[in-house]
Amino acid sequence: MTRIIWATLVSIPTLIIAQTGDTGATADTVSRGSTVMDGASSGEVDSLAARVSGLEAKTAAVGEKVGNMEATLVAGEEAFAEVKTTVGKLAKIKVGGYIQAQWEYAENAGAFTATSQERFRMRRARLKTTYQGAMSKYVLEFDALPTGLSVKDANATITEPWLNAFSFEGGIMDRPFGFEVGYSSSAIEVPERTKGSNVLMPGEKDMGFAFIFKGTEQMGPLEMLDVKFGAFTGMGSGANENDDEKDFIGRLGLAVPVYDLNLAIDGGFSLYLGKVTDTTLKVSQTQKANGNYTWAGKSNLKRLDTYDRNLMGVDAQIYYDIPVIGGISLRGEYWWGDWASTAGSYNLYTGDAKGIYLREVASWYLMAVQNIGASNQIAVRYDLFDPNTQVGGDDIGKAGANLNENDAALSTLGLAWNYFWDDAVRFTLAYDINRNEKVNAAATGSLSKWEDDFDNNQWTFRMQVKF
Amino acid sequence: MNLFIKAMTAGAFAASTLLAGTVITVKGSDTMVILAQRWAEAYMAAHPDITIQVTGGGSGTGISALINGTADICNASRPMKGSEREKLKQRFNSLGIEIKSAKDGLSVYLDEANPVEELTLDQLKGIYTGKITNWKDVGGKDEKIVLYGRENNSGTYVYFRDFVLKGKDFSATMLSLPGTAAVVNAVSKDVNGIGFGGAAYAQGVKFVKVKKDANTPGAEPNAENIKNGSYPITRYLYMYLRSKPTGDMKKYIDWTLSPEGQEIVTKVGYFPTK
Repeated sequence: MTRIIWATLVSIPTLIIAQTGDTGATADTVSRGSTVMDGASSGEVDSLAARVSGLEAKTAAVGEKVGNMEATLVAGEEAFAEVKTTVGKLAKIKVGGYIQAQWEYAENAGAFTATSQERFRMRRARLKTTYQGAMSKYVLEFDALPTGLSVKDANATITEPWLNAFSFEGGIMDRPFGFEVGYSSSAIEVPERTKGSNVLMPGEKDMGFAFIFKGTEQMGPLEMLDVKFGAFTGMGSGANENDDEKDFIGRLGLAVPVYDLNLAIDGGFSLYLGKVTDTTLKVSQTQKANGNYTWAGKSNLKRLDTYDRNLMGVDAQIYYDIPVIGGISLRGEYWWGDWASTAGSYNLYTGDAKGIYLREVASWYLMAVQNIGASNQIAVRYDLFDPNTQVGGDDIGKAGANLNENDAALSTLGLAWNYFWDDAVRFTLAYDINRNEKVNAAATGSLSKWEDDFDNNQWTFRMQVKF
Repeated sequence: MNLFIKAMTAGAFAASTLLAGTVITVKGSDTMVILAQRWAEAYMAAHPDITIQVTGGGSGTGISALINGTADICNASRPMKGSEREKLKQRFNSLGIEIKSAKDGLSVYLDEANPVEELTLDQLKGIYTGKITNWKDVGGKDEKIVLYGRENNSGTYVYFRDFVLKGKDFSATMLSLPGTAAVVNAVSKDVNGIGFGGAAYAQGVKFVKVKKDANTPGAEPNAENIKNGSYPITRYLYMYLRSKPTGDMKKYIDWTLSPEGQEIVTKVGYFPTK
């Protein structure tokens, strides 16, 4: 580039000379030498000499200017190189985020507070910063809500440079279990994940270290393989480790694309092998006595005994493009296993002094998402979470049983319409038909309303802007 | 109020679109932008009710536009990556439709005054990864090699890196330029320059004959060599769609693959798919 500009600049004096009439005469005169000089008066010669001298001075001045310009250009190139280096570094940093503002209307009075059944709500307000180096990655994501600021992702990943297929990740990250847990909250087609996912993998995140294998295009069929497993605290992202036990969580995933048919069949198998440590000496399990299932305390407890929190899961997704209408996906997932929850509830046990309830749980869903053209999408999902598979609805509320509403299965039929305004804005209108397992007709107190399905369906209107 | 104005604008746009007929938005590869424009001009001349809007920006830009819904057709001078297919799958539940629309001999350009005539793939890799920095090491003058190339959103960049450099990074000294035309222009003014890009752009520069290895003869990127496989850096030029085309879109795609459409491919300087 310098050479090109320099060549252009040094030609400027020549052009000036060529385009100046007087100069042309002078050059002509001088080149012809004594032939012309012989016929000229000394005054004319002096005049011509003065003009030549003037032109030489101008040429020297132009040359000096060109020199200055070249120096400026070189300085500019150096500055450009510095800017390019800086921009190159900045290009490795990406900032993104999204806001989900919504209006919710529940059909049961007092759904949100004692006096409200509709509300405005800031569901998510995320800001994510990612640094992507050649072999390393840094992710930090916050969720800034009126209820407080929380860390959603804070993890570092290193990838080996030879195959670019094996990575090691540490920090707060999605639990590698099932399909739904790792599915972005900005992409989910219905307002919320399933009940089972929210209970068994609350907040989706946990703290730990994980190994990752993701096949690359150069690996042939291995490109279809996606494996991630690691050791985690088992406490979720919001609490610190409370014991020495680590939970192993892993998923083996396979994605089989059939490009000719525009069909993809994906699936995975997940495993969660964890333990919780009891410090309360209050551990209960469901037992059958005298024909009734009850929560009964275990005996011969020792402090710091550990209890299993083991889950397994299978998931499958099928994607297919329906001509004229658009792409459709059918998804399903089934989880089951032993769960150690906080006493009196099915929620994750994280050291609560009330003690531990040992449960057998199951969760599943089926979902269909249909795109209609480029801007519209409808989604239907049915999900069910059974927090105590040992008992049926009729066992709950029965005289002599001390089971409660947290032992009843919950299901939701969710319907959602998404409208993609542009590449950043999405509107969602959703209706959730919530159902509960009906308990025994002999139930009393607060449990009596569970004798039938009670009205708690909900409308959600959400506006999401993502960048 | 803004929502109201936007709604009215969208309504007016939709109405004008209906009145004006079908609008097809094409975005992507700079390598293919001339070809896409020629196709669009010819097709619109024969079908006045169809409007085809063509813009470049690079294959990566076009693929992003396809994923975020702002383009109907993405032109790409490289295949879509698995990660890009995943994004399309997440947003549209579709892996996308790939259409091979032309063939290209990815050409290596030198200034016409450069005495070097042939380079092997290994030499090209050495030059562009920065291991070979002087023309004398590949049979030229004792002059520093000046590298010109494309920006990283370019399919040509990705294809050259993956195929010729075997996935290695380009030398940091390479000057990244926004378009093959800019690369050709720079090389044509720099006797020590070297560049790469689509065959259709080579004006004022000469092609290097590329050799698979030291023992095979060099080949220029012409129709015969590309067809018989002796030119080693050939690639398809693609069109990607979100879904299987129907209606006007299908008619247009079918036309680009017809003898008439493929004749334009040849005229522009690329090669028919069959």
